[in-house]
This record gives sequence, structure tokens and C-alpha cells, in this order.
Amino acid sequence: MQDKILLKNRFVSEVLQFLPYRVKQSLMQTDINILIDLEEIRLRSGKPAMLHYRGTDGFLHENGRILGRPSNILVSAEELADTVYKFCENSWYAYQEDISKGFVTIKGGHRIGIVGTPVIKNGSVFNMRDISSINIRFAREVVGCGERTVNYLINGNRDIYNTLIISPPGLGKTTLLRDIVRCLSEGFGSFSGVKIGVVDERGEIAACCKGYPQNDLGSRTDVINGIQKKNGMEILLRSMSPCVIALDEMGNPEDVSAVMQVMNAGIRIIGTAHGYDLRAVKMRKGFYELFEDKAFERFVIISVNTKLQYCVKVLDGDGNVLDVEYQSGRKHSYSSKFNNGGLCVLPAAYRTGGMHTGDSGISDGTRK
Amino acid sequence: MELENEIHYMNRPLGQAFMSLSRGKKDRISGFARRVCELHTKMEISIEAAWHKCLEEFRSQWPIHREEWDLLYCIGEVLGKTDRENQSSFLSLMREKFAVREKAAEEDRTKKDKLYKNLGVLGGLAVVLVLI
Repeated sequence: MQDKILLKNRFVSEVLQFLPYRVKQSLMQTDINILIDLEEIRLRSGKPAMLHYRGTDGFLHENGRILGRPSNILVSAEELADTVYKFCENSWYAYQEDISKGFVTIKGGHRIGIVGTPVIKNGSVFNMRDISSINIRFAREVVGCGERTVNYLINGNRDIYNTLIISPPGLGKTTLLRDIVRCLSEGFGSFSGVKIGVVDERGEIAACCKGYPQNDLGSRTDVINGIQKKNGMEILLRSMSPCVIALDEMGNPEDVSAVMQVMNAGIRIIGTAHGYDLRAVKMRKGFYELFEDKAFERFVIISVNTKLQYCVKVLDGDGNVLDVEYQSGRKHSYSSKFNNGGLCVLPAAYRTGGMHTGDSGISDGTRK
Repeated sequence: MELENEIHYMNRPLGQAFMSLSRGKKDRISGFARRVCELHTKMEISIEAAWHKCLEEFRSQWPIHREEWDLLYCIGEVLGKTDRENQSSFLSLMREKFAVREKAAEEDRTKKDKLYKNLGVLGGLAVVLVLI
């Protein structure tokens, strides 16, 4: 119970205090078991507050009740703007780059997605006015979730394989990466820890606040945050001489070419990428060269099946399955998105081999 | 100047910027920054409200004119509400305005200095004449 109270207090200090008054008052009365399982809070102008938790969603009513029908706790556009301003610590200027990308990462590593009317300057988004919706996505540190997987990523006592973690958004790539970094940094069994540099572009891996990482990344880890991955890797390489560099959400072709350079310098890479399977990632611009050169020696593919079980599959560089682990973990709303009467339709680019079954736990795209 | 540095060069949010300004110093400006930071974090009020409340608290301690208080109030209304470039140019503009006010106050002081000196001399003469 004490853990739950601690989690609730953290939720209050990091998120709740900034929300519109009526939403805050109502959430204070919500069942603590729901609060600690919250995945998202969605606020839309003129609409009731919506909560996502345990793979489902509901509207926030008076007295903290969450029901399927819309409530009368409506959020105004002014309240949304005020909420975002508070999340930005009353300092738009300090978050202007994040806002132009459509999200800000706040203390605790939680991500606030923002949409409205973009203000364009020199052809690119400069600001967001008339904010119409915000999505507060909660970050969670799950210590120990990578302890089994990490055994397949090490090469002897002091080296690791270049690894790419793949999953659709929201299935826990960052959470797994964070725990793998912690394990590799601290060392385990006969593996002695290695120096790791983390490029935390969005501040979600370490969740640094005033220079202190709020998540445990191990004792041999150096973090550079709030910087583009390419530049971050260069700085880490020059200044910290890491053995391993970890980075989240590779996708930009520039990042991929920078990763290539880092690998050529003898540094190991652990990265993550959005994708439903290996084949989908291979087809993405920039990744092709990495796959051609067989740059990655391990792939970790996360999926979720119809029973709301997470499947963490480890493959070697040739696509052979080394391990499959099922975790019951937190149930996620994505599972319901996947499950469409037993079938899930993937984007056209991924569908060259036809439709995939909803049981993504046994489909890795390579059909092995 | 230091606040401008915190915003433009360090890109610190205002709460942290005020905390940084107040650290390790004991002058009046640091006291003001510390108080703004305290009000903002402990009372959970906006930086603008904390700035204004703090100005009210310091009003009796700072012997400055109403126009200067107005300028200080104006700073609180703009802090944190624009991008970095604009914050910087706004603070520079305010500094220039304060420099103009300072110059005017200096001239005023010089004028008054002369006036009081002359008054003193004339008063002294008057006393001497009366005594004679």
C-alpha cells in the first residue's frame, strides 16, 4: 500500500497539480488502483477529460468516478493553454523547440502531446496556438523487465552485440531499453558492467531533472539529454569514450548514418525503432544500409497478443529466434487497437505478405 | 542582465533561473529572486503572480519612482510568455528604459543638489545678514 501511496504522490507532484481545477479535484478522489495504472489522460477543448488505463478508456466524472458515458467535466481551450503553460514551468521559451515538435517532456519523463493550430515560420512549425487537445502519456520505470533479455545481448564478459529493439508505439521500447541499460551498466552474473552513454533526445530514458537522472540507469552511465541523436552521439564519443551508446527511436536517416559512424569507431549500439516487425523496419529509409551491412547482431521485437500478454522475442542477426518471453505486465490500450476480430490490418507498406493474424506474438515478419 | 543570461544563454525555466540568481549572494536583487522563487514553488502560483506579489513586498524597501515600479510590473507580465529571442530583446529594452530613468534621476539629483547648495548659501547669507 505504501508503494501505491508513493506512486500517487509522485503522480500528484509531477502531473496532477498542473491540470485544470475540476479535473484535478475529481482525480484526487479517483481510486488509487486506477490512478497508478493510468496510461494516458486526454484533454480536448469542449470535451470531457478521458482516461486510458488497463487497456480501456473512460470519461472522468464528479467524485473521481470513471464511466463509459461522457461526463460534464468539460475542459475549455483556455484551460488547455493554461495547463500546457504550467507544464512548461511558466516559460514558453525553455520549451519552444519541444512545442514546435508537438510534445514536451516533463519532470518524471512523462510526455505531453500537444495539437492545435501550428504557427509557421520559415516553412517549419515554430509554435502551437489555439491548443485543441493534449495527451499526457505516463512514463513508467519497470526495474527488472530486461533482466532475461539482456542475457542474449552480451558477448562474453565485457562486450555486447549491436542491438535494435523494435515495436509499435506504446509497447514499452523505452522501458525495456532503460532496464537493459541499467543491467549492462551495473553488470550481472559474470558480466562486468560497461561504460554506457545515453543520448536522451526526448528526456524519456533517464528523465533528467536539474542534472539528476530520475530513473535508474546504473552507475556507469552518462546521459546527454535534449539534443538531437546525431549531435549527442558525437559529443558522447568525444567526451565520454563510452563502450556502448544507447538511443531511443531511431528513424531519421541522419541518425542512422551517424549510428553507422559510431559502429565503425568500435562503439556498440543499442537502439530502438518503431515498427511492427523486422521486415517493416528493413523497408524504412536509412535502415536499409544498416541491414545490408548486417550492422545489428541482435533484434528484440516486442508485440502484444490478444490475451494482452507482452511478447519479447530475441532474434540473432540472421533472424533466428533465440528466446521468446511472455510478460503479463500492464495491459495496454494498443492491444485493443491490434485486435480486430482476430485480424489486424497493417499499413500497405507492411502488407506485401498479406494480412497478419492478431496474435502478433508468433509473427515476427520474417515468417521464421 | 543576469536574468537575461539565464534565459538566453542557459535556457533555464524561470523558476530555476530565479533560484540560480539567488544562490550564494546576499544583495537585494538576490533576495528578490529568492522570494519570487519561493512564492512560485511553495505557494504554487504563477511566476507573474509571484513577481507582482514580491514587488508589493519590496515596495517599502526600494526608493524608486512610480514610473519605475510600472516598468517592473510590466516585466512580470511578459516574463516567460514569448520565445527566447523576444524575452532577450524585451529585457534589453527594459534595461534601456531603466537606463533612461536612471539618467533622468541623476540629472534631477544634480539639479536638486545645486538648488539645495544655493539655498544653503543664500540661507547662510540671510542668517549672517540678520545677525549683523
